[in-house]
Amino acid sequence: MKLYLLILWGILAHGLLVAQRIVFTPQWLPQAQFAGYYVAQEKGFYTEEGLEVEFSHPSASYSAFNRMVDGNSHIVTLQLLQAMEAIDRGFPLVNILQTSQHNSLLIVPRNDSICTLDDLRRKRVGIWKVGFGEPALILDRQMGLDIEWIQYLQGINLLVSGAVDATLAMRYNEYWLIMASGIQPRQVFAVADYGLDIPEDGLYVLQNFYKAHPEQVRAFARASRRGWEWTMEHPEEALKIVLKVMKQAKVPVNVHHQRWMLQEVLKLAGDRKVDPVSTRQLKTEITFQGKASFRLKPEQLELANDILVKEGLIQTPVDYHQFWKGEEK
Amino acid sequence: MLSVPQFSHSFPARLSCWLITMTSAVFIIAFIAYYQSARTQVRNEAVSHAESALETTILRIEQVLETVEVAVNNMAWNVEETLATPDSLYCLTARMLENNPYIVGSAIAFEPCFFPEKGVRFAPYSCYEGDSIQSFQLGTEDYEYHYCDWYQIPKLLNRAYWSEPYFDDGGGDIIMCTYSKPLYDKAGKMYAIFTADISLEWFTRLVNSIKAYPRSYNIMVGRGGSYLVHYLPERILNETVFSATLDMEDQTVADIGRAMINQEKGMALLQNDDTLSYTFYAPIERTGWSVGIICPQDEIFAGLEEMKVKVVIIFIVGIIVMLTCCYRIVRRQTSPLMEFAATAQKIAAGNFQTTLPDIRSKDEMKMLRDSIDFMQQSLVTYTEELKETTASKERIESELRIARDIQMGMIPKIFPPFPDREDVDLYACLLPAKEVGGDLYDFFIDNEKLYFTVGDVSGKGVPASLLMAVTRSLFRNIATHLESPDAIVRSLNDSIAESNEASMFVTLFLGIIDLKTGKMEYCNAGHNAPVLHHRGAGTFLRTLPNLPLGLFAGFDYKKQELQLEPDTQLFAYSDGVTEAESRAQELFSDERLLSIFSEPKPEKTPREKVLEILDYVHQHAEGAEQSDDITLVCVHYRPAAPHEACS
Repeated sequence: MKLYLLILWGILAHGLLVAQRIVFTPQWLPQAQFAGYYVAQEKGFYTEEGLEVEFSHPSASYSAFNRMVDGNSHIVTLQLLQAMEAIDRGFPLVNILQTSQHNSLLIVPRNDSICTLDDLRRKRVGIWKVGFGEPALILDRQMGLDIEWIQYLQGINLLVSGAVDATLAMRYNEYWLIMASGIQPRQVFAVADYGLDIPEDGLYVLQNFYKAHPEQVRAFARASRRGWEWTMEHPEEALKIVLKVMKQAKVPVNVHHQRWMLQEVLKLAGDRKVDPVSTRQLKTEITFQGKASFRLKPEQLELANDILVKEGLIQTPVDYHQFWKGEEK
Repeated sequence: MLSVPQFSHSFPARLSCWLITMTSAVFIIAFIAYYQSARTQVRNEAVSHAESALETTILRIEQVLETVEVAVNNMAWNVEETLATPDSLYCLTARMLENNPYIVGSAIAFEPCFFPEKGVRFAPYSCYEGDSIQSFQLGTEDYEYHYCDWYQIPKLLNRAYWSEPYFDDGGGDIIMCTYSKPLYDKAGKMYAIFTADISLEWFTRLVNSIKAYPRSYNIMVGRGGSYLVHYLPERILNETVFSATLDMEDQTVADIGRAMINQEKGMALLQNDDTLSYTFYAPIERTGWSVGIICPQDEIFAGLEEMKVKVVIIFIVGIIVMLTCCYRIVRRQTSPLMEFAATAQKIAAGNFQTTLPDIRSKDEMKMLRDSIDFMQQSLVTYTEELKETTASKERIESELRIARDIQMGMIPKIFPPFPDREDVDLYACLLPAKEVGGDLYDFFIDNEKLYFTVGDVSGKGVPASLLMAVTRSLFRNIATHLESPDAIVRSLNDSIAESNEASMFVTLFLGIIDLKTGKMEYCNAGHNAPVLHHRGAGTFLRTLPNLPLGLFAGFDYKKQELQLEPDTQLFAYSDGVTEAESRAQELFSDERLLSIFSEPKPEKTPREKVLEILDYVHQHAEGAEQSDDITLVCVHYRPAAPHEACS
């Protein structure tokens, strides 16, 4: 079955390339989380690499990964753990650019009654049904907190209504929404602080596609990296590009939220450790300081392998050399 | 030359300025008090107005919400009875829509696999498609309702729940809100969620219909601060009241947002997009939402501010008009003053016939004119009188000068009087305080005897001078016939007393020195005792206290005798010497007089001695006006050979 799908995908992929196009799908609708790609498109970096890139966004019912598997997209963004689990499920993926160097997952309590991780014991905590919450589940198991995980689709209403005591949040996204809803907990828990600083977003293609079109894939990764580097140098202009794309896609625009998102995404892309998130005032002065390697380091994959294998989430560790196909410098 | 004062120094200008200043101060104080009071009143009315509008709106929203809740609660009883025939549940949801115009959709969403034959998801749902009601199964693989807020939250909370509003994907761009009621079986286990959807469009219209002020706008926020109603559509369900405040130091807006989501009711003043605005807010308790009215402060006080500007303009114009009128009126009223001033100068220059300005009013200006007129007439009369008086005075003064010359001619004034005699020298001086005086002195030698006298008539001036002349004439006449001083004095006394109608008197010292023997007989009639000066020592001559002349006729005056030592000076004087006053009204005194004679000085002639004493008196007086006649007579007895003394 898998082989059949791969052959089918190969035929479709070939057809797409004949049209001299690369279809790229980020994980979600246009937002500052994917700023570098929109900048690369807007600034013509893809064109300069001889590529014609089409952005095709996913929906709640049709994820980026599924689009790629179905052959409707060539290159997608995924979180590292998602990609590793996909490989374990028989979808050979390769990572061509690692934009995130840190984990951004937070556990955000609803009120000040939860001050320590232990206060979360047997409490209700919201978790996305579509995933992204694995590091928190691992933390729960490691700490023996016996958290009652409440799956939900999206938004923060579960937390606002008091139906859950805490919720998972990405520091660049839901955390801002929670703060913007008037909830200001005294303590926020970052899973990265508990030995689970597993990198998140990266660019992925199926191995076959990579083997068939290595130059195009590498060109896409190079142009995307230029897009991110330009974003780091010109964050305000990059933000304007993101907002423009959002408006074109008729996605509701919240400038404050997007500014915060870009600021935090750039922090996560840097090599240096990310500061603890503020629980009072969310300063949004987008500046990028430090260096960004855009590279998946062997020790990062090793950490992820160790955790996933230990937790039984994957059977076999992912091989670094087969997995990482990005540029080394 | 009279100069016209500058405008700023002129009386009308100063009076007008003072008047305007005082009027302005009173007006400004009154206006500020009124303005503050009016502002408070307007503010209170605005609060009352906004609160009233909020209460009415919220009451109407609550009524609709209650209607929906009651509809769901009433229909919930029917669900349990219909469980045996799951497909008939579609009728229930459809009936919900038919019976309740506010409800646009209704579902009965069951727990997973509640009806095994219906699969994991079974949720009969009815909604409008156009004007007709369509019923269908809601749960699909793409719509996992068990993870939707409207299902999960009431289930987790274990109570009915109004969902946060959301954009309805199916029904266009309207915002929906769902009331979810958990249904429990007899064991108390939840088996379904019964829902009713309502459109927020009606609420939006209702909230937006509050038009407290022309530029005021209204908001409605959800439990998480999301804008449900806002005049900027892009903010609805996309931004919260906290969105823009998260990176701000100023938490005023955030505090208001927190108060709203905490279901508080209140009012606050905040800086809203460069405009200071009042925010009034109140909660919708059933849903946990909050409605707010934002009114720009300048709009609330617009009427008052407009009135303030009008009043200020009227005030400024009024002040200018008032200042002009006041200045003109005062200047017109006081214009005669300038003419009076010019007239007064002419009068002062001697032109008494100057015509005064014509004043027709009967006020103070008329009084002033009459006064000046009276003064003018008085001055004319006075000047005429003064002319006459001056002429009269000049005539009297002329007569007095003649009288003085005559008086002075009566007393010997040639010194030394006896130049051919070695044994006696004499010097005398009379300084009247006025033109003519009452002092007298006289002397002559007859038969080797020196007769001399010094007198002082009571009073001053012409009467005293006449009596002095009489006394001196009597002395000359009587002394030439009598040899004894007491006889002479008695005769003088009787003669003066005889015709002394004015009850005047004369003090007098009379001495007769026998120049051969040095024997001096003397009689004192109430006069100052003369000073004897001999060998550098001065003593008062012992004199009897006889009465002055002219008081009692027949008074028996006693004579005294003294043998003069050779080279003795006898110094007789009037009380004008010892009673000469300094500026500090200190008398020259007998003691000071005597001390002059005690000073060790070289021997002086009578003339020198008299002049020396006069110097002392003048020094003592320090320029003070002479108040009494001063008379000094100094007799120096200096026989060639000493005589035998006898007393």
